[in-house]
Amino acid sequence: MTPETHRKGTPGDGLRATRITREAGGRIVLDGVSVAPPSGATVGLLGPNGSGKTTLLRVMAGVLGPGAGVVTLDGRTLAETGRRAVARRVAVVDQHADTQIDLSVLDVVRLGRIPHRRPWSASGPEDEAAVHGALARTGLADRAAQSWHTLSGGERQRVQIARALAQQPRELLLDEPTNHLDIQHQLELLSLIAALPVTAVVALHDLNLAAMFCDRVVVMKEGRVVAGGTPSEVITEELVAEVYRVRAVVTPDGPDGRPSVRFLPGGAVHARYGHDERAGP
Amino acid sequence: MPPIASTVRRTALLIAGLVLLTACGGGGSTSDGAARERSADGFPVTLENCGRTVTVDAAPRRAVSLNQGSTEILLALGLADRLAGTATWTDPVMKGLEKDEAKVPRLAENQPSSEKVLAEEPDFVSASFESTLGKGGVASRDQFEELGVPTYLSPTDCAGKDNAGSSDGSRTAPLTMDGVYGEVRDLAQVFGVPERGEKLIRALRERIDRATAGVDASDTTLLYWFANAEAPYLAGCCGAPGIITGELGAKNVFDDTHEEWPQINWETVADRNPDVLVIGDLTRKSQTAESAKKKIEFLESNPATKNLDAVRHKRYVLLSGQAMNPTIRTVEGVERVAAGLRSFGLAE
Amino acid sequence: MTRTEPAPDTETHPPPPAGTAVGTRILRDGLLWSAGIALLLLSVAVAVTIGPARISVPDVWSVVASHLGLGEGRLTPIRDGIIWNLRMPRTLLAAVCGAGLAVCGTVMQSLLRNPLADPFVLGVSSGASTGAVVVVVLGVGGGAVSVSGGAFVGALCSFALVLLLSHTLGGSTDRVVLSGVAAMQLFSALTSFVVMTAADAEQTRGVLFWLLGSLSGVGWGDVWTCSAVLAVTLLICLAHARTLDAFAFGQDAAAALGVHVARTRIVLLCATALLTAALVSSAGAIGFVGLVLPHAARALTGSGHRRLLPVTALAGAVFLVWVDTLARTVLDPQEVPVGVVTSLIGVPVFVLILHRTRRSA
Repeated sequence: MTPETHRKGTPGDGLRATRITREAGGRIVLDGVSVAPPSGATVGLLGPNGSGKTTLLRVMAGVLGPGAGVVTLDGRTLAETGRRAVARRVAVVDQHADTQIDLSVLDVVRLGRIPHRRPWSASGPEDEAAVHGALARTGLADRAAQSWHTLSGGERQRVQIARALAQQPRELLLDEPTNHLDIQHQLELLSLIAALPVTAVVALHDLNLAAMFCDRVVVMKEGRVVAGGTPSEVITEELVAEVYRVRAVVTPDGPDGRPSVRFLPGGAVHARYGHDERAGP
Repeated sequence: MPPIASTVRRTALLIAGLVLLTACGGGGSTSDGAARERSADGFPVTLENCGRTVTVDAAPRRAVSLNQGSTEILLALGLADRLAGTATWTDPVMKGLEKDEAKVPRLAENQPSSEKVLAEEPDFVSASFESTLGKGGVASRDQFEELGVPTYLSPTDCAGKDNAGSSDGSRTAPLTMDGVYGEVRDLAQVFGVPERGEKLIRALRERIDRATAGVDASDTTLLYWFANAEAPYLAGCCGAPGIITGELGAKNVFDDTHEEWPQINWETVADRNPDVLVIGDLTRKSQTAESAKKKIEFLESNPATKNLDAVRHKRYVLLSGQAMNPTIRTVEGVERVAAGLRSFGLAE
Repeated sequence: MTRTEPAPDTETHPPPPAGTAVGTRILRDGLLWSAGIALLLLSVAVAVTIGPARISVPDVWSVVASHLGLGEGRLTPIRDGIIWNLRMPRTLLAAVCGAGLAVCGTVMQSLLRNPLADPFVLGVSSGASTGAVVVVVLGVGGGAVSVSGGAFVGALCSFALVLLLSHTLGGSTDRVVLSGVAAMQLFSALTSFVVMTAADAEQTRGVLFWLLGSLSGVGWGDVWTCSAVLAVTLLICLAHARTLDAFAFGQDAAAALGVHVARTRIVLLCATALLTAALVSSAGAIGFVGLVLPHAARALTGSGHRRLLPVTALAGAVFLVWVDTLARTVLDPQEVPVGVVTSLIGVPVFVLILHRTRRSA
C-alpha cells in the first residue's frame, strides 16, 4: 500500500501532515513524511527507535515547526488556526512527563482545560464536567486527590491521558503510551483509546498490540514512511525483517483474523533488499 | 539636591525657634550670659555646607552629634549642656573632655537607627562623614530637613573631596587644618558662641606652632598605617595624615596616591622604605591588627617588613584613630609625630 | 475489531452539582481573601506602633488619622514625622517589597521549573549593586543621579545582558538560567572590583549595609513607585496565571496546551525583572523572601496560580512587615539590615517547609 499522496486539504479533513521534512544536526530526521489519519480511526505509528516517530508526533501537534512541508487541521495550517484553537482540537501525551511541583491528580487533569479557558475566567461547570468525565473514563475518579509523586509510571500515563481527554480533543496524539504499563493496563488503555470517538495516532513498539487495536498502521524507518494500510496488509514477515531486522512468523491468528507476530530468536537479519535495490513494500 | 523650602519646614523651624527663645532661661556655664545677649541678633544663621544651604533659627539646645569627630569639637567648645546625644565612638574620648562627655547620653556606640536619633527630638544634627548622612547611614540630610532638623556635615568630608563628582572618591585638593578650623567656626557660629570658636582655633594653632618649631623634616619620609595587616589601609597624600605631614614639612611615602586610604601591599612599602612608621592604635576590633601592639608584632615578624629600616630601628609613632581622621585631634597627631621625629633625631 | 471492555471495577462518579460547588467556593474564597487582607492591614497597623521612639499607640493612630484628614495632629512635628515619614513609608514599603519579591519568586520558579529559583536568578540584584556602587563610590552622574537611580539602571543593564545572552544561546529555559548565572557573576565581580579599588572604609560600609537589603531611609516616593510597578506586574502575572499552570510539565507540554511559550516567557521575565529592579533599587537586595514564600504559599493553597499569586503576595507582605519590625528593634539602638534577618529566619523556615512537603511526597 502506498503512502497517502498529497491532496489539497478540504474542511473536515482533520489533522494531516504533508511532506514533512526536518533536519537536526545535519541529520535528516523526517524525509517527506505524509500522514492523513482518517477521521475517528486509530492509527498506529510503528518503527524502530530513531525512525522519527516522536518528531513526527511533535510536528503534528504543532510543538515543532514542520520544516519543509505543512501540517493542516481541517484544511488550514496550524499557524493559521492559532495555538489555542489547535490545543482545543489536538491533545498530546508524551512519553515522559514529569514535574517537580506537588500536584494532585485532579490538578494535572485540570491542566487539560487550559486551552478552553479565557485568561481571567474562573473554571465553569463545563470544565468540571469535562475533568470528571476524563477521570471516570480512565478509572481515576477515586484517586483525584492523590499526589502525582506517589503514582507509579503506569498510573502517571493514565493521568496524562485523562488530562488529554479533559481537553475534549478530536485528535489525540500519543507517544508510546504503553511503555510503563503492565499488560493488563496496556490492553485497557489501548481499548479505551480505540473506543474513543477521536482520531488517534499512537506510536507503538509492540506489533501485536498495534495489530490488535489499530484500524490503520503507518510504519516508519529512518525518517521515511515505508508502509501504510490495515494491519493485515502491512504487518508481514518481510516488513518485520526489513524494518526491525529480526525474524518473525506472522499468522492471522489475532482477534478478528488480525496478524499475530511471533518473533524468532537467532540474531539480526540483514535486509533482504539492500539499500540500492530496495523495491518498496 | 536643592534644599526643600516648604512652608511646613519654615513653620516648623519658626515654632522651634519660638519655643527655644521662650525656654531660653536655662543655666549652663558662666559664659552663657554673654552668649545669650548675642544670640538674639546673631540668628538666624545661614551657612553653605557641602553644597547645601543650612539655616538655623536659634542656637540649638538639643543637638545630636553622630560621629566622634564632630562630638569632640562640640564638647571642646563647651557645649555639653546643649547636646542631647552622641553616637559612633571609635576611640576613647579626647583627654580633658571626659567630664563633659559623661554628661551627654550616648545613643549608640556604633551607628544608631534614625528613629533613635529622632526620638530625642533634636533641633540640630551634625556628622563627620558623608556616608553617615547618606544611603546606609542614619538618615539622609533631606529626611532630617523634612522634619525641620537642620544638619551639618564636616566640610573635611566633602570640600575638595569629590564624593559625588566625576572623580573616584578621592581628594582633589589636599586637606589642611583650615578645613578643621572652618568646621569649628561653623559650629561655633551655629551655637551662637563664635568667640569660643576663635579661642579654640587659636589654642590649636599655638599647639601646632609649638610642636613644629624648629622642625625641619624635609628629608624624612613617613608612612601612616590605619588598620588591617593582610591588605593594610595606608594613607594617601591628601587626607588628615597629609595635614600632619604638611605641617611638619615631611613627605608621605605614598604622596603620589590621591586615594584617601588605599589598601597597598607590603612589597610596595618595602620598595619605598619609609623612614618613620606612624601607626594607628585603635580600640575597635573589626579588622586584624587594630591595636598598635598587634601592628608592631606583625611588622617585626613579617618577612616583607622586618627588614625595613624603620622596623629595625623601631621608629614607630603611635596615634589614636581619631588623630588620623581630619578632626581637632589631628593636632595631637602633629604633636606626637613631631616629638617622635625629634626623638629619632630626624628633626634637625 | 474487538473492543476490550473496561475493567469492571471502574466506577463512574457523576460530577458534583455544579452550581453549589462554584457558589460555596466563591464564598469560601471571598472569606479567605478578606481574612488575608485584614491580616495585612492589622500587621501594618501594629508594626507602625512599634519602634525605639516611645510613642503611645493612640498617639500613633492619631498621627495617621490626622494625615488622612480625620482629626488634628497633636504631636510635635518630629514625633509626627517619626510616624508619618519614617515608620509609615517603611512599613508600607516592607509590605510592597514582600509581596513583590514573593510574586517574582513564584513566577520564576514556575517559569524556569526550578524550585530554587528566586527573583535574583537573572542577575538583577547584582546589576543593581554595581549601579549603586558606581554612583556612591565613583560618583558617576554627579549629584543628579541618586543611588536608587543608579541601582535601577544597573539592574536593567544586567537584565539586558541576560536577555541578549540567552537569545544568542537559543532562548530555552535552561539557557536563561545559565545566562542569569553568568550575569550575576560578572556584575558581582564588578561590584567587588569597584569597592576594593576605589571605596574607602566608610563608603564601603554604607553601600554594603544597603546592599544587604535595608528599608531604613525609604520615603513616600519609593512607596508610590514600587506600589505602581507592583500593581502592574501583578496584573500581568495574574493574566498569565493559567499559562503558568501550563508550564508544570515543561515548555513543550505548555505549547501543546496552546501557550505561546516564547512570548509568555519574554513578557513574564521582563515584568518580573522590572519589578525586582524597582524593589532592589529602593531597598537593596532582600534575600530569601522570593525563595521561601512561594513554597510556603504552595503548601497553603496548592499550585494553581490563580490563587497562588495573590496568596503569595499577601503572605510575602505580612512576612516582611514583621521581619522588618524585628530588624529595626531587636538590636536597638542599632538596626540590622532586613536582608540579614530574612536569611536568618528564612533558613529554618525553608527547612521546615521542605520537611513537611517531603512527608507528603
